[in-house]
Amino acid sequence: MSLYTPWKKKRKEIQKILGDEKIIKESWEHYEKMVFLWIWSWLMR
Amino acid sequence: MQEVDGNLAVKKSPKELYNERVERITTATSLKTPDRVPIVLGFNISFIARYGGVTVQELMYNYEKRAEIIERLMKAFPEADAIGSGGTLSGPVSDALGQGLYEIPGRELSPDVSFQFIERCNMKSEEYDMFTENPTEFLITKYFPRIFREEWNKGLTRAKIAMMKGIFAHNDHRAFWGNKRKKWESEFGMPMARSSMTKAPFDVLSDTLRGMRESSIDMYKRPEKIIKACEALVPYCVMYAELPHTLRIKDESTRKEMKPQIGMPLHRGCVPFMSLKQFETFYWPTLKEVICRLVADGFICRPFAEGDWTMNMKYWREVPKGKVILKIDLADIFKAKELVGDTVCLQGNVPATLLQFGTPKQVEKYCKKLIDVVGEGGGFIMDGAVGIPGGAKIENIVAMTKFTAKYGVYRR
Repeated sequence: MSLYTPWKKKRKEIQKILGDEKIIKESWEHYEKMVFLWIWSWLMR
Repeated sequence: MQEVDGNLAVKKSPKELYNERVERITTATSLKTPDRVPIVLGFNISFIARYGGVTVQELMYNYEKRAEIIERLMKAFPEADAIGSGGTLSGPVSDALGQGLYEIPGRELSPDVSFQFIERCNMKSEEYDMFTENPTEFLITKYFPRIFREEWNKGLTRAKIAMMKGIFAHNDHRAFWGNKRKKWESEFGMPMARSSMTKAPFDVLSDTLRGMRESSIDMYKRPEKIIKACEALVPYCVMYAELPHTLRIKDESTRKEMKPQIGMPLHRGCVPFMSLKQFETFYWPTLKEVICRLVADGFICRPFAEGDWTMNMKYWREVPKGKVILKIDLADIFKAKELVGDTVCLQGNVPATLLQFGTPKQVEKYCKKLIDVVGEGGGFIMDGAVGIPGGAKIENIVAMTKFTAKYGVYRR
């Protein structure tokens, strides 16, 4: 199981990253996790 | 309700208190004997409202007021080693989305009663495969439009705005209670009873997706579909419990860290909701899998066996030793001590009826029996059977905490 749009998938959609990829990856994954918790909070009650 | 003077002649610093409380709970969890029996007070939102002289509706919207009353309760009951703050349902989030899972005090219900879950089927029998194949896709496209009344039915723009409002309101709620949690740990030395939560896969399916009636029928008509859906849910249940800890900013202080406790309310597993054979087929395998995975990842699980789990008690021998706190509601806790007391720490179970209608002497007598029998050799945490219910008499909570703090001492 992975988050909805894992970084690997998203990375393929971005043609070029001129700066530090890690910064973008961490931010992307942080909000993927937040949205996972939000979605599943409506079942985990 | 009369305010309690908690006798704050406590000379210890918040850090000392926090460490002491964590040590007490951690030792009991690992089935050893702490300095005394730990006490957990899980305050029901109705109790918090009654203690503060406000309505439940007000507390569902006014987080600051609720936090202020909880702080008064922490001062009133300094013997508590961890507290629960009355649930996570928020009035603003509910309104923004028009959520239809609960009736809310002050909206569908009288302002002074607790919120009420609405039993409903939100997943059709022919949708099992879609859910099992991609649960997130199913939730977004099928489930949300059914449970959020501000959603699709009122047009796309309104639906999207509702979702945005709901997420803003959710973030406000999450940030507020996250900050309070840190404040209560650092200023009051008070740990929270649970750090995140999850559920048994079958309960996820039965509570909010299929509903009680349909999930009961499914056990006869489509057993394979239930099993596959529950298996598909396992990694989501684990991840839902673990993610808040990876997102939470690490505290830089040198306090002792309590292993994160995952609350797990168990709703429909016990007899008579299902037979033992059905329990073994549909409920237990995936619940046990979730628990074992969480324990392997370093968490403590705290399942709340709601209802009477006496007949299902033997299965708890199969979970990792000293890593599970089983919170007991109506089950025979004395029999549980015999059957599983060498495997799980037991928490409970001063009956709600006793806390509401009994006398302090009767409460003390029951607590004495709990300490003498269930507390023997450690592995026991004192708590109300359903936490502290809305109608609990304040003098009975005083009796429970003061008596346990005095009589429940193992060593000086």
